[in-house]
Amino acid sequence: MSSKLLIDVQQVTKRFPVGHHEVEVLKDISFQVHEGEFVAIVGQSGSGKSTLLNMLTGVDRPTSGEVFVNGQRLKDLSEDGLAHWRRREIGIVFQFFNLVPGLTVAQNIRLPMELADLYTPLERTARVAALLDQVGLAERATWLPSRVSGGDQQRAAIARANANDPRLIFGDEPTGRQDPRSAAACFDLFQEWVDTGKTFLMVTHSRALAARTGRTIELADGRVIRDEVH
Amino acid sequence: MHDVFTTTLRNKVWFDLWGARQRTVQAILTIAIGAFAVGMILGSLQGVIKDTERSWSASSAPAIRLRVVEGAPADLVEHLETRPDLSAVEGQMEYAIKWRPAPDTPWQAATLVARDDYTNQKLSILSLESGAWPTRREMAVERGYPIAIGDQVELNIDDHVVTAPIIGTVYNRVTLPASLGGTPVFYTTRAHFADLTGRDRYQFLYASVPDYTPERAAAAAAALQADLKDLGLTATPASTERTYSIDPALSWSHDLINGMGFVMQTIGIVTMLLSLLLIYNTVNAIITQQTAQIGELKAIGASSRQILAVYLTIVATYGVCALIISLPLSILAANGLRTLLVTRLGVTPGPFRVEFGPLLIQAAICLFLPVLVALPPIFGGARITVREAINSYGLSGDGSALDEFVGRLSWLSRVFSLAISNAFRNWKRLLLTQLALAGAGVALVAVMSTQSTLSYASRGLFTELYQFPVQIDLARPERWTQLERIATYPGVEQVEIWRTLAGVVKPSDPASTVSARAVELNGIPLPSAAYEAQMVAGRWLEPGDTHAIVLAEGVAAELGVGPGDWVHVQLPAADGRSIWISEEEWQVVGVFIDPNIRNLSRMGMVPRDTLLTELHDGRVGNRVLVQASLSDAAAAPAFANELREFYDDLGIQATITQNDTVYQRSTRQSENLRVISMLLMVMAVIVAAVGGIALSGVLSISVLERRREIGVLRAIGATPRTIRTLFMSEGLIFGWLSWVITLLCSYPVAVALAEQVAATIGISIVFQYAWAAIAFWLVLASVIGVLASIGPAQRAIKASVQESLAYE
Repeated sequence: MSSKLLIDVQQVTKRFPVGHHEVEVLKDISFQVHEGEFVAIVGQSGSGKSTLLNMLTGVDRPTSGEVFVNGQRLKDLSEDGLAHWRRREIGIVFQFFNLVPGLTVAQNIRLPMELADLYTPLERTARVAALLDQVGLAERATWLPSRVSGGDQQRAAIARANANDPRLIFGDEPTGRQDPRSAAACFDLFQEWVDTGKTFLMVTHSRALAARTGRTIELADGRVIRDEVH
Repeated sequence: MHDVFTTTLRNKVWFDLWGARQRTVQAILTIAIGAFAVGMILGSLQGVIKDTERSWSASSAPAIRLRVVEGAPADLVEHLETRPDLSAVEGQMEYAIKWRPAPDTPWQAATLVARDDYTNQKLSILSLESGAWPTRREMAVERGYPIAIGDQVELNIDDHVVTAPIIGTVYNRVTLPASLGGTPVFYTTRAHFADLTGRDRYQFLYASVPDYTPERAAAAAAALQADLKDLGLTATPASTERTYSIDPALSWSHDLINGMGFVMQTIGIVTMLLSLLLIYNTVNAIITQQTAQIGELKAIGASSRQILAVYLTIVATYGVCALIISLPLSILAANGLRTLLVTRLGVTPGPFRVEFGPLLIQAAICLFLPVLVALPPIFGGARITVREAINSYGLSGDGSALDEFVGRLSWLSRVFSLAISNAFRNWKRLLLTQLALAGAGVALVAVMSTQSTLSYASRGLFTELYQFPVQIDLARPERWTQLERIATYPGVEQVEIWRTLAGVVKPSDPASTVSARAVELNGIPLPSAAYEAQMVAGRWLEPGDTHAIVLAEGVAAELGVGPGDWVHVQLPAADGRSIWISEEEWQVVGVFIDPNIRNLSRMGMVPRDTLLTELHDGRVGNRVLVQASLSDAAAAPAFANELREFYDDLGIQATITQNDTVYQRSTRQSENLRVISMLLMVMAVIVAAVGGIALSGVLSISVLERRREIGVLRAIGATPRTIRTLFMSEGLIFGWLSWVITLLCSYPVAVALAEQVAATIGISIVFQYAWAAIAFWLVLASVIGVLASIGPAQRAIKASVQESLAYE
């Protein structure tokens, strides 16, 4: 592959203490992702998918091994450094959306721009409107998250992930709460992002959805058992 | 560097404040109640001190106060003014009289006072409140008594009755005010005083020294005594401390003010600590509740500084709102409490004002302390990793040992065992909450126990000590055979005759630097049926004792003596014929409890026979204690009047006092201590309010924190009743636990507080634990436990399951 190396996972292991024992959730995982790839990470529940995503987004740190994103070794960054890195470099769609409850849908999308101090206020307003339009939430702009459906919240989270126009976006079951039609529309949006040069890496339990991406990495019992380019 | 606090983050702050109004109000009230209490307490205390100091300094108090037994002639006062060791001298004539407002009303005790020149007073200055200074026949009267300008009162001076028109009211800062059980003082001219009493000498000499120091005053007082002795005059100590010289800055009420100050400062500190704990708990609960949001913000790029900015702004806003609410209220309350206390002390309260020191402390409590105590939880929240904040990975730890234990108690309802597990799950929260709640409980019980102890010192203790309800004091010593005739009066069951007089006592140890003090020496028969002493140390007087003396606890402490020590006792002759009729060494054999306030009574008990021998008096007495069959204690004063009339008919002159009966003495003691008791009750209410708000705040926020849990419980089929029962049970567990801790810890704290307050006021106490306060705290903790948890739980139940699950 000739495009630029974006994610480099090297022998990552993650263990958690549970009571008096330790559970190894990720076992010596290594893989690479290049710019412009659309990657699905699949596996059964408990296979380590979400844990792996947390390692890639700096939400959590490996017990051993290294994660490089766009040449940045995540281990070298402090918690604050990770926050600054995330606001500029990546976008995340959380499984449970994690919208800030006190802010309207539009404010939730605007927040990452303000945190990163990107765009002028007018540009932010225009950009929020465009992002809301992309996910079909223009009419819900001033609604609080608690007032909209789970599907709408997920679409707001998708729009927020792209707020700062990052080159790399991660999604944890990003269409899990959508009805089939909305899920398809969202998937089209992800594809659109990839087509414009972004890299999209998502965790999903849906093999059908994974099949529509460019590459599938399958986990089982904390190990990569399949890494297949379609 | 871009703006850390973005517009959207400001919106979040607004939502957190306004969107969660109930929580916001709770947090603001929590801060406000603590700040209000501290502001009010410190504000009123500072106001009381300033008012009393201002009032006292206006009196130009003397450093030397002597009572001249034989009286000092006017030219002597003029002569003394030329002495270089004295800067000013003032003489005051005094005579015990009776008064009544109208001819058909009973006689009451009063004092007649005369000064040389009311318009040119030098020391112990009297102020004219209204009307005019006394003239030839017209008198002025001390303020605070039901005597008005224009009234004509009758005065009985040695059975000679005169009518006195009242033309002025006078404010004497040196005498006990009407509000504390003082007796009226009538002011007249020197000439009229001499006409009425046949005496033209000064009974009291007041003097000041240039550039006061205790040593200079003591030296001047000693030199003055020596000069008076050369002139054949006996001087006894007449200061409020019963010493010859005294710091002129010390008002008669300084013990009471110290007592008040101690109580108020203690409660102020306790309240402030409670407030800090409450604020910490509240902020901690909010941060804990918002942990997930902190993770979300960090996940999308918010830095620790931005997280800090958000939550510090929220906390600072609570503080500002608390200050806006509490400041005017505490200023009003401090002025109200100051006026109440100062008026009780007989001092004219100063105008409405703002004390800036307490105000600054209050502002600091509202603005800085919440931020300060919030920093650890907020820093903790800002430091939390995104993973810790928003992910659990679905992994759960083992249940705690308590969960397992509670699970095994099959007889316990499922809901109640869940409530127990929930209450004890977060040990840190439990500890901090209980620290605040039990702290409030302990403070409440300690304050109420101190109140009960003081109340007992005013009531029960008097009846235990004084077995005979009536006491008649006589104008001069009379023969026993005459006095004992009262035993024939209907209702009288037993009579005991004492010989009392004011002696001057100081330690015999020549190395001692303690000042001599005037002590009311009571010569009692041995054994005494009328007095049942309660000993602190040593033993009571026994038949066969001669030069043995038992001192009241406060007097022994002031003289620095105890059982086994010797004291030098000077006894003046009753009629002032010679100086110090007796100067002997007496051995202290015991120390007893005297419930009277020290400055009103410094007592010592001695064998009557030895005292009479020393006085060369024969078988005479001037105090008659009477055991009588009375319907109730309140009937005693009327009976005392009948006995006094009986003596009058025998030609025996009984003095009229307000202290004829145990009932009157205990009432007067209650009056004296009422200002402290009142203060203690105010403090108890404040502590109970702070404790109540603490419990309700902690529980309310705890319920709010768990709206999602309520949603989950409802989603899996829990009925509203089950949820209500669960939270109510948790509330009760919190409340009851605080009660148990209060029960265990309050006794030593209450004893320490009561003893310290008593020592500051100068009374002896027998500690009384306030069981009623323990019961009250149980009821309060239970009621608040239920109310504070059931309200928010009810609101959470009313929300839809979806809303509850979405709540953050």
